[in-house]
Amino acid sequence: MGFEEIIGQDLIIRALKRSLSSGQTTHAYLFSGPDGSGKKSLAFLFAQALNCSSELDPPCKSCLSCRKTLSGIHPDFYQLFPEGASIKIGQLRELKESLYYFPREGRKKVCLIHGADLMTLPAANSLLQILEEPPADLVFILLSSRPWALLPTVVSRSLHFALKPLSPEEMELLLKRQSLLEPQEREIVIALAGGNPGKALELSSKGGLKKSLEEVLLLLESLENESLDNIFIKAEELSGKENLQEVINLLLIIYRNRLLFELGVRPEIKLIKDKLQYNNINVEEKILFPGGENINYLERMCRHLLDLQGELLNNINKRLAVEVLFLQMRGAV
Amino acid sequence: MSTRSPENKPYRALYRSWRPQFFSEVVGQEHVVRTLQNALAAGRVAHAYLFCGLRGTGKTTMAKLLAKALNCLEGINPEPCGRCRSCQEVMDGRNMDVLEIDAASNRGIDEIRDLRDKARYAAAQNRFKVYIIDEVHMLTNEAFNALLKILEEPPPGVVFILATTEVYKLPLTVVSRCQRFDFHLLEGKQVVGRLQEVARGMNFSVEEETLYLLARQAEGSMRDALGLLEQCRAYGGEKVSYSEALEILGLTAPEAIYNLLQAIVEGDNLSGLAAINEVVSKGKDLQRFLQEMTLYLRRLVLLQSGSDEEKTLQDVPGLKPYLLRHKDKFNDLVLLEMLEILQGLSGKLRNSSQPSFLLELAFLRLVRVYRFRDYLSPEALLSRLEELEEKLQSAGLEGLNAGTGAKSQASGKEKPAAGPERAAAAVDDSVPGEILPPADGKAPAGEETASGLGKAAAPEGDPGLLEGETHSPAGSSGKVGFEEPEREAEREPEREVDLEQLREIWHNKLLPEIKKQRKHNIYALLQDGRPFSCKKGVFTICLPQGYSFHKGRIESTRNKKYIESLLKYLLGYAVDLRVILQEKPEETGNWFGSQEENTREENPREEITREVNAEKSTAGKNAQGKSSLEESEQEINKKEKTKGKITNRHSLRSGYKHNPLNESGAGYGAGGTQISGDNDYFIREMLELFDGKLIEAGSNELKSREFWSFSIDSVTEETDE
Repeated sequence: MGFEEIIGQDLIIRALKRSLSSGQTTHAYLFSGPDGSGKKSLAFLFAQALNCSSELDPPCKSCLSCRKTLSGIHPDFYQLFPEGASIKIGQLRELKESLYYFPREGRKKVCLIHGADLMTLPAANSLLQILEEPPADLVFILLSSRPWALLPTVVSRSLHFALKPLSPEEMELLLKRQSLLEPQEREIVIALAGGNPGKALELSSKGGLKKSLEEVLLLLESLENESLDNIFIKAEELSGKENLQEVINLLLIIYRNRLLFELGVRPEIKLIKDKLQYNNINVEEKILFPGGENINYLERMCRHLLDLQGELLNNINKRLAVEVLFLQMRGAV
Repeated sequence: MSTRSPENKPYRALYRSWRPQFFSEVVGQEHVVRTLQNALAAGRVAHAYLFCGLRGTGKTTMAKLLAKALNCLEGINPEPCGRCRSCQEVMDGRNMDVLEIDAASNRGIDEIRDLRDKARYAAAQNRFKVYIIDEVHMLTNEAFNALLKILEEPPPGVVFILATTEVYKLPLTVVSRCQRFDFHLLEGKQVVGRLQEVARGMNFSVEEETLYLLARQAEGSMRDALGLLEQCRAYGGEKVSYSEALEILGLTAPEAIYNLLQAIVEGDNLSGLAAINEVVSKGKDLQRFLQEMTLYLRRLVLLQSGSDEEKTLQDVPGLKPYLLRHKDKFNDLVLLEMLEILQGLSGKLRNSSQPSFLLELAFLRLVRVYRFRDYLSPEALLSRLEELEEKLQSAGLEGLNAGTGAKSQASGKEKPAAGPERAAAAVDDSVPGEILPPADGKAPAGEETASGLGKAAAPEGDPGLLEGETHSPAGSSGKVGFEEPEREAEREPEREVDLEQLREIWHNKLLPEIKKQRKHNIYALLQDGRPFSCKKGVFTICLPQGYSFHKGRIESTRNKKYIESLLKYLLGYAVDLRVILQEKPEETGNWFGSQEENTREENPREEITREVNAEKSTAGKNAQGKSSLEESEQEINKKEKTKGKITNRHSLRSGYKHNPLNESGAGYGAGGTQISGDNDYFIREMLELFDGKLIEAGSNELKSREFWSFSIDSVTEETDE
């Protein structure tokens, strides 16, 4: 199985395959997409294919060259990683020296630059010339999760393939192929991962999502009835938990579903139905008929949660943030 | 002209294999080509050139061309021959005397010293020694300074060509020593022309519309455009269609954008969310979708501002029919507001793990902005207000002179707004009553608002329903439906709470609780009122005379629901909230100035409650506030029977009737001046609130939304009947 193992990037794969089979590969590629979107897998497959000794449908992934490339010991396969927080000009100078020789074993020399957007300004500039007119037989593959942070001059010199987020159907396919999740849990994973295959796989290997969802629903219920003092206790409890981010994400999904419902859209996440039977309490009502919460409130909550999601990545006072969130949920702030 | 065939060489990227080899092949940059060719023809070649411009505009190409022309064996001509040994060598990049230096890799002073030393030697085989220093902006400061001397007076036969994308990083001393040429971004048409040439040369069939798409994505850079063309060819092989190209570039079809905007225009949440869902489920990059949408709106702005239709739309043939259909649907203010929202979104989208949620929320906000498109400018709102005021005044409204005494107490932003708003709310109350003039005067205004707000205005004009309607056209109707019976069931109609208890709850629980929950706006509305009665599941609040604005606000769905929920919490069972107005002013003019007054006025109320309980006995000692309160109480009784809002207003109206007719002559003049003074303050306050910041993200939004509901509700409430 070569390129087929990548799901959802049919266009890119078709283009790569065609240029491979017609021998019209160009000298610089840029694969971009968020972390976990599959850039690296794609790049490795492509690098293997460029030097694969099998005639049919490269990469075969079994010939010596393919295996060498995969383990990173192919003499014509160069990788550049950020040193610390960035890729420095010295690293590139060093690399460039070796790039001007002919390939030793394979047909092409392949240079894979990880985190290309982390090149310092001088480093990126020093790459420009070789990126525009490299020696024959040299192929650059740049990987970047933030292509907008690259110099426009770098982007314009390479063939830019942006990996697209996966559609829910493709995600389902991926998860079915990769793991043995229950259907309900799969729905949650798909909703949480937002089209990012790497994230979905990470989530599904971690597991326990259904339990988290239950907890969150219980939390929601208790929040509505608790007195103010208890809310602060709950906030302290939650902010100490490791899976805070996950709880926030789940809350967001619940509120979004409520909002969509209020707007008249039937939520597409079926987990609610399944959950209903599973847990034996009237969860559907809790999620769908929260009792006349108006759209403005729900919309505001979604916004708050999205903001909080971002803030949690920075070093904020979690307890305070959760307290504020709970108060917001009660409509007090 | 294109005589080279890329086939016999190893495959090269299009932008390399199709690099122009003659000046005549260069697309655009006529000003540079003409100047250089004239200089070549006259044999007056400068010793240092500086080419600057954005990526893919032809700097390196031009530098190579110039080098070729200077060293052509056929002599210095406006066009290099392209056949001689020297020209061939330059093309292959192996001419000894044309030195391409990558300043980004050789940026130190040592490299420049080396260059300076070697430049002293004459050219080996050719007329000129040409140094092409690319990315020259990356040289260090010292290196630049080391270059200055030789750049000013180079040895004979040396020509420097500096090329850079960032000319502002160069020291002025360097710039002033060179002949500077600025390369412009290419126009869509020029790019398309070149792409057609290339496509033909490669036997690659592609429609013009698709090429325009590529050119647009390339944003004026030829190298980008050729890269995209290459991408299309890698995918399509022999030919590529428009829809395939969209797919390859990760773009959404124009229909998707049209559909989304159409949903915004129609205020149709469902189809808008469906459009977003469609984009997401196809796995499109939302960032790109956003860019496309921004571009679409930008064109609309251009069309709005009256720029030439032909020119604006020439490079977006695919969008043209859609744009023309939307042209008259937006005004420039709403477009700018929408663009701003989208702009703010694009930053967030990058870091979000659930970008589709963000897009959905933004959509909801866009719908809201669009709905209020006619009120986005302070002027529009002001003129609307003025219009209303005129009508009110010309209608000779009697409610205007009321409430002058109480004004100083109201706090918060409601205070300045109170004048006209109060008047407006008074009109609202009067509508179904016998007094016709105010209703007459207001009828045309109502029509206008109805058309202006579109579907937003509810037909019956019930303020509660109206608010639900403005915020949630899709959801509210269902909601109202299933909430009503529930409330009915919970009610305990038999219970009655005595006044002492009520006051206790009011002062010690309700108001502090509201304050604690930081609902200052509601606190401000209630602080001058007092509990009147609580029986048969109806909690009645009495407000001082002239507080009809406060009454209106308290009765708005949201506030009412909030207060009711609090009361439910405090009383232990659900109640309906009613608000009544005191008819005559207190003689002190101060409703709740001090405790002392509080105690004093208990008398009349107790009186009245007793009175009412005894079914209208006439024992009034305090003739002052009594008659009106009695009216109000009557009203409540009546209401309990008929459960109709209209009668409520009706009877209130009849209460009004005594009052203004009694003292209209004296009061009116004073009321008039009061209004105009108030008016200025009100307008100033309003402008401050507006000041272009109506719809904002985050916490400010709350404030602005409150403001919205306050301003729009009150405008519609009082006009839509």
